[in-house]
Amino acid sequence: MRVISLSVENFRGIKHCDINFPVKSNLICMIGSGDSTKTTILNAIEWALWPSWNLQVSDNDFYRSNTNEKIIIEVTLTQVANALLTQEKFGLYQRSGAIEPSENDEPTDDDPACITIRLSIESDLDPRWEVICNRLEPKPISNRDRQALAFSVIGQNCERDFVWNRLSVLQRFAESKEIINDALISTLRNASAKADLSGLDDVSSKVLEIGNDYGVDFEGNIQNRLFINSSSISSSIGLFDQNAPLLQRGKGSQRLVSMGLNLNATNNNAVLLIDEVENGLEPYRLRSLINKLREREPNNGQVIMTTHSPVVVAECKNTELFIVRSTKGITTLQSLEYQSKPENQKTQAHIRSNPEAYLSKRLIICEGKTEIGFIRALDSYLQEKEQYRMAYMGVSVCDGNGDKIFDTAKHFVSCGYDVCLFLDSDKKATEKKKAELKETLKIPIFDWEEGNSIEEQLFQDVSNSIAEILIQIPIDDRNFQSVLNKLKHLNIDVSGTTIGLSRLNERERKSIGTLAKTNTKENKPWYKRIDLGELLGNVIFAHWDEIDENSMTKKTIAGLMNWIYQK
Amino acid sequence: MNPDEISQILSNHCSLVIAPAGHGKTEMISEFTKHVEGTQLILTHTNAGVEALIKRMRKNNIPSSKYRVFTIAGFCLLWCKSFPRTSAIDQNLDPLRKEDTKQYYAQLYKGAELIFQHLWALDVIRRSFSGLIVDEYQDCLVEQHKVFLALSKVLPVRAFGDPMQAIFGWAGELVDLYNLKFPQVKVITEPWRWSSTNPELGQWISEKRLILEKALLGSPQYIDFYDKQNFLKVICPKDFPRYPILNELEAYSDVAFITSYENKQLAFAKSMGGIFQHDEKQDSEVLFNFAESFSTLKGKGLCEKLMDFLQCCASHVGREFKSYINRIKSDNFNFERILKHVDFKNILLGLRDTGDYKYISQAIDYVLKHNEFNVYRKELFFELKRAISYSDEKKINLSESVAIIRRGVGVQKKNSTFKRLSTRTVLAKGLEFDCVIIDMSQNLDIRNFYVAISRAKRFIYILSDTRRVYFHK
Repeated sequence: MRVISLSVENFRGIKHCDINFPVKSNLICMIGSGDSTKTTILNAIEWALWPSWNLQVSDNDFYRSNTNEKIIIEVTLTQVANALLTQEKFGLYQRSGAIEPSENDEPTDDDPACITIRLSIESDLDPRWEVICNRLEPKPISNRDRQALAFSVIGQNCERDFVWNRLSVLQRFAESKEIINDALISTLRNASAKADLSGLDDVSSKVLEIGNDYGVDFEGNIQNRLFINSSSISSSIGLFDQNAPLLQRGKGSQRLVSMGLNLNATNNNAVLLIDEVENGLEPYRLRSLINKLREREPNNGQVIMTTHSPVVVAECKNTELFIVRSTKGITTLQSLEYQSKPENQKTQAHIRSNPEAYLSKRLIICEGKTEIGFIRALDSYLQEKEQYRMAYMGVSVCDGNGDKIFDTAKHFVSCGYDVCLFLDSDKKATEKKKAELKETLKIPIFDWEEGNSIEEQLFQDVSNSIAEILIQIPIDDRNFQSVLNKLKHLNIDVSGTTIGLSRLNERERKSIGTLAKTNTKENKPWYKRIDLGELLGNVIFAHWDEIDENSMTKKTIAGLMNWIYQK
Repeated sequence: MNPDEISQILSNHCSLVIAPAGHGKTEMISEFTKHVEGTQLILTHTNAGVEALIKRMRKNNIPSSKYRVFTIAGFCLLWCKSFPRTSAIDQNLDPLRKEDTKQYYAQLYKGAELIFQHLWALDVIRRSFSGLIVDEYQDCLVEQHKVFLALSKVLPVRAFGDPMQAIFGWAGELVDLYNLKFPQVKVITEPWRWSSTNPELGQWISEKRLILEKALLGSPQYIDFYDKQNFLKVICPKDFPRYPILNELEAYSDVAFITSYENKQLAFAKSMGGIFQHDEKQDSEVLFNFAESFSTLKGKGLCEKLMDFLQCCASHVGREFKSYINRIKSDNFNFERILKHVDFKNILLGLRDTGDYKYISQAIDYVLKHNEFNVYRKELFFELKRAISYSDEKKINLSESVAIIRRGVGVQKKNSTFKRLSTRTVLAKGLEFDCVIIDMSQNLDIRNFYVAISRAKRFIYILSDTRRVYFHK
């Protein structure tokens, strides 16, 4: 089964949302900054396919708690269980896709046939589930029929999957009711607790198998045992690894096994909703999980998940990633799939090199590592002086990879991110591109006086005494001699292992910047590492008040601070 | 049906089973359904047929999951309504609108055939059913037959029928059972209908069938009717109904007067003073026309129409309500001086003032309750009342409501509970009665005659001036 589209009205943070999921891909990963309503999207799907008759609804589930506007969730599914597509059930409600109410939605020979389930809730908080199409009156779908939808949610309560109760996925592997009832009676009869649960052992071997598959190891055989202390008799039998209940395993392991069980229970063609897939998983387990989810066979199920993890983003294909945004209650989903192959390849490269960038709202795209480090120092300075961090403003940094910075900027702008550039002005060739970008895409650009790199500008604008502290960074990082070698043609004072710059003029001081950035075999640049860039920035901000207000350094950085703070 | 016969049917993809009337065709279908796996889609022509099949299935304890019974039209309508574009039926036609009905039905079967050219539609059929059984195949139009051929791509088709009972010819070209491509499976049959009621009559009908078959194949035949104490009596039409047979009829729990002419059917019901109820056809123009008038008229006109309706369904309305009728005509609603049927006054005033149909229902109840009236079209009464409450419930106008309850799948209802019925061969087909009175004062053709006689379980009265009747094609 697959969800091919979703439309939501007035549900929690979503006033309105209309999204289409790709039919081809069986993995959908939704990313987006906080409050982008990613989780609400998953909840909406979960509610529309809710397998039981009782659903706890409260006023707060309505958009802005306004119960006058009813909640409507419509989920269009393809490859639904055959049992639901009979003449008597919903075979006559098949459509060719989620289509506008006034349009022809009759099935075609080319499109996969699908059905649409609509959940509507009015102010009486009574949920109604119906199958709809544009030709016939809506037809109620019972919870029994909804249970035939191959669908499960890996959420916070995956514990239930290790205990035999009504909603446990274990039920899909074996009919437990009689066995458990018999067992309970016999247990109660002879308190020796010799309950026979061997009828449930098929599941145990499956759990072992899944454990192997998903990288969770067990000590011994998985057995079904009574939870003697359980107060609820209906859920008092669960899975044990030797003497340890699986419930006591780590969250990550529990989730992995739960996912495996849920996928296997429905011959892998289930829709699986996973909120924050990274929960409790180390990067290596996460990577193998993503691949596992993507490669399951037969390939007609679907995983819809959310993540905040760059590890997951980097592991995803561009066709699998979707950026969720919410503005004034309108939720949109943006695909990163493009028409042309080269465009897709480029996008894939961006995803691999800057996975983290996709997880924020606003981006400072830096020319290189010096700038990234410098921005980190700026962030610390903002925290100290202004009591906020860039993250509060939804801002994060992204490596523009030198000359590729313009492509990177264009890419993120096209993905809908609010972007600014932070880069040098020392290359003639790039100045034209800058102007063009500023003009066409209205991207704010923070740079220096023409001809200057960050090193040149900073050395030019600081006092000689600050410059002395700045050159202490390469001295500490490398050694005194290599720095001295570079500077010895200047008018400097050397005493012991300190270099005095008090006699330099502005032009000479700026030339230190030029020397600092040069990259030759024997002379590596001084600040071109994130940590070094950060140290550089730390020095500048420590002496921020001493720098001339009219200097380019001050103007540029103040502009950048304004941009960060603007919204 | 024995196991050999069942397995022979199962070994063919499509089969034809011929069974004369009363020879347990319904029972065969039920038995077959019981022994074959999965759910059978069972199609027949009339609602009465659907009812009879379901009744039999229940009687034989066949689990309801093993069968679904529809009329052919109902089944095709279900699909064409579900996929109107694929059916290519003119979208402007509404099957429930009187003036469209004919045209819609003309496109209906073609529409279903078109839908079943598509794999997605056949997939639904395949998932839902394991076989198709068509009852009364002799009455299938060629267009209907084509729908079944389309379905045969995914379902085995079992056609049950009797060429002798093909009397729906007026609807269009019928499929020729003698030339059907489905291999015929011979099933040993017996005249079951009469085995516990009147075996002699069963025997007689079988004999006549042989004669009629010859006539049907082109050689004219005659049948001489002699009174038989146990099952047959010939009465001169002019002696009926004065003839004191009404007492004789008391012996039978249900009796049907059967003719093949519409006017004679009504005249008979009317003449019998409410003892015989007129069997209404599903597409009852009378009902549709009245409903349409009711939904357009107001005040005086509405009251007038109501009186017309009552007169149309019951005798003595003109006499009993004379004072009311005359006053309404001259738009005088001062009923103060009327002493007869005083309570009826408020019904008419209510109707004139509010136009509320509940007064129509009350008027109907009034006439039903009072012995002065002889109601002979109770079905119209009941159906109009049903339409009124349906229109009230669904908030639609009366005209639409009548159309829906008479034609809509699922809301149709047949008042087949009348113990004395005045009916016609086309309406009575598939039904059975203890006793039938067959009107042969006018010509009855071979097949209609066979259908008429085979409706009787115990006794037949023949209304005819002559005892020798000729039958020819």
